[in-house]
Amino acid sequence: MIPYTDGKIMAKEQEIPVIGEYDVIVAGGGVAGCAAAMAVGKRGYRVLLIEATSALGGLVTMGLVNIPLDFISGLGREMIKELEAVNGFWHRNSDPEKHKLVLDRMIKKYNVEVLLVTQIVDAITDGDVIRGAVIQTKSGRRAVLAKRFIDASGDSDLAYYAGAETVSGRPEDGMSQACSLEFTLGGVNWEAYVTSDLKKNDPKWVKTIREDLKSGLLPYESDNHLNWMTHIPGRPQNCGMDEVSICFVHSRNCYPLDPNDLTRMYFEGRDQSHMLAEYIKKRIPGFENSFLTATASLLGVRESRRIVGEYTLTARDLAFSRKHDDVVTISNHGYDIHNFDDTGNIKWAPIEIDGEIQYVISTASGFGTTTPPPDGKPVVNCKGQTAEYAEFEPGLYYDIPYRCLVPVKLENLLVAGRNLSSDVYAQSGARLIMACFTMGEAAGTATCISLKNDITPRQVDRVELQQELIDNNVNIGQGFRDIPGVTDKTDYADAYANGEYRKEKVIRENVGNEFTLQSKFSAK
Amino acid sequence: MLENIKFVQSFFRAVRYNGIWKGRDSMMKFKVAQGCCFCSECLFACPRKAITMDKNGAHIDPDKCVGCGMCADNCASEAIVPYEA
Repeated sequence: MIPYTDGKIMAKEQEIPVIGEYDVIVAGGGVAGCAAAMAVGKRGYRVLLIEATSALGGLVTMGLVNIPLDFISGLGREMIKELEAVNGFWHRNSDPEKHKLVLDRMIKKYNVEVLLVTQIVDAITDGDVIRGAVIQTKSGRRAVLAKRFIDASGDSDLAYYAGAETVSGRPEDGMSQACSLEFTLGGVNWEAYVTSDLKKNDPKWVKTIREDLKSGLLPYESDNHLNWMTHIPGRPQNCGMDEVSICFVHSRNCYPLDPNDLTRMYFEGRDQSHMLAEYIKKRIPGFENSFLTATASLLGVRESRRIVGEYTLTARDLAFSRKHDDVVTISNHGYDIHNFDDTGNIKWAPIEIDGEIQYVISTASGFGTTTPPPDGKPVVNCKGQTAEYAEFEPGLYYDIPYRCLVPVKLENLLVAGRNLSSDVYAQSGARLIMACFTMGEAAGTATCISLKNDITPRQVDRVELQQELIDNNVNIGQGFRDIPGVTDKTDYADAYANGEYRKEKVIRENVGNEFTLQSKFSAK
Repeated sequence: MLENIKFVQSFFRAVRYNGIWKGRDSMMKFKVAQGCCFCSECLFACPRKAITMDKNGAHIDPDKCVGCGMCADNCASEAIVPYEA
């Protein structure tokens, strides 16, 4: 009999073979981890990238979330160019299969060592310093050591094992926003769909879904609208055999750190995928000959465990398009919460203005919210204007500062990706694929500076980091405003080709601080 | 200087779509059809700052549009289409 008290057993003490020593270990091979590892390998340091699944890219490949949105720059631009070269990118949509190949090649190009199908199961710490990671491989339990670590695991696994301060889900009950399992359909007559009355009159299928729920044609409601549908590039186009990727499946009331709930969501996700594929085939014009080609092998977890960092990105940062001196990534994406425990999207955030709670949207996308705010109040922009009068200055974006990547404890760790230090509202905007990629590149670059100067990541000088990022054509907003202390050396000729930069002086009151609002609301 | 580069570059892109040297009377511009998902990628892609967003989605100012098609290339929901202006 194994001694078993209080619901716990003692694990056996064992010696674990150390199979490698590196300068940097990156936990997680999603886009953030790949970017971080490439930024490190590019500068000549020895880096190991550890990934739990069988391919790199995380949600953009294994998750079939083939829309790399948000600002593209630096190594991200190189990745997109490589994708275009293999006919794998079009209209901001990517082909997940070609994307896997592109990442495989880029990782090799930048001398990154990779371990796939390997999980991190523990951290080896020495006070506030991480010495190594314990990993589970097909050969058994092993250890890898390094001087610096970057946690791009999405769930902050390594940080958590090392004792970092973390939060997960919404404050009241830790529930995360809804997760989605993407699926792809082939045999789609895209032209017939795009020219159909349904697409013209009900592009998000809101009315269609409502009617079909009543009639029973749609067995149950995974969501009250079609979230997005992309046309997979590089595959047959406009010939009745097009392939599309669909975000429609939703699992609600999620706790994505609970193994039972994760399992539930995969079963539920596949069940919904098959149900929806059948429904779409029956109901949507152009899809009469469509068929399910794949369900994602990685669940689309939008939010889970985040670190508590030197700065926590908040709803106010998005609402007021706030700028920070230590910016390392910029984002143009507004609040985007897939409702926790009900259908629809929440694209506003409750923000206290003048002692009153207003439901503020940070970009025009907020008007598309399918879950209205409580108390019958309208959504307003940060100037207090409702939909009829609202003006959004063209080119609103917000800064993600370096301090969001630096955990409050632990001296040789940075994070990158959806697990940045943030509240649930800010995270819902800052989580897009290319923003995570850029955070990864920033974390990798900062780690190299910390190694070169023999200092901790926390001590890295933000001007040195930003200059290095700009010299590598990373977009931290240097084309939109003057960042104090930094010289803009961006190669605009290339960057401009994508229209990414518009060198204009952004005229705002208090650049770097909250705006002075023009209505009765005043910023606090 | 950069303003000049932008102007020249948009001219060459416009030629790609408009075939100015073929001697046509009208030109192609771009407009947002239905299906805008408010991602604002077009807004940042436009070299002439011709795009704004409101509660109905993205809008392309036909007076500023030169038909370079950067917006359409970057539209994640393929909602931007050319038309004869």
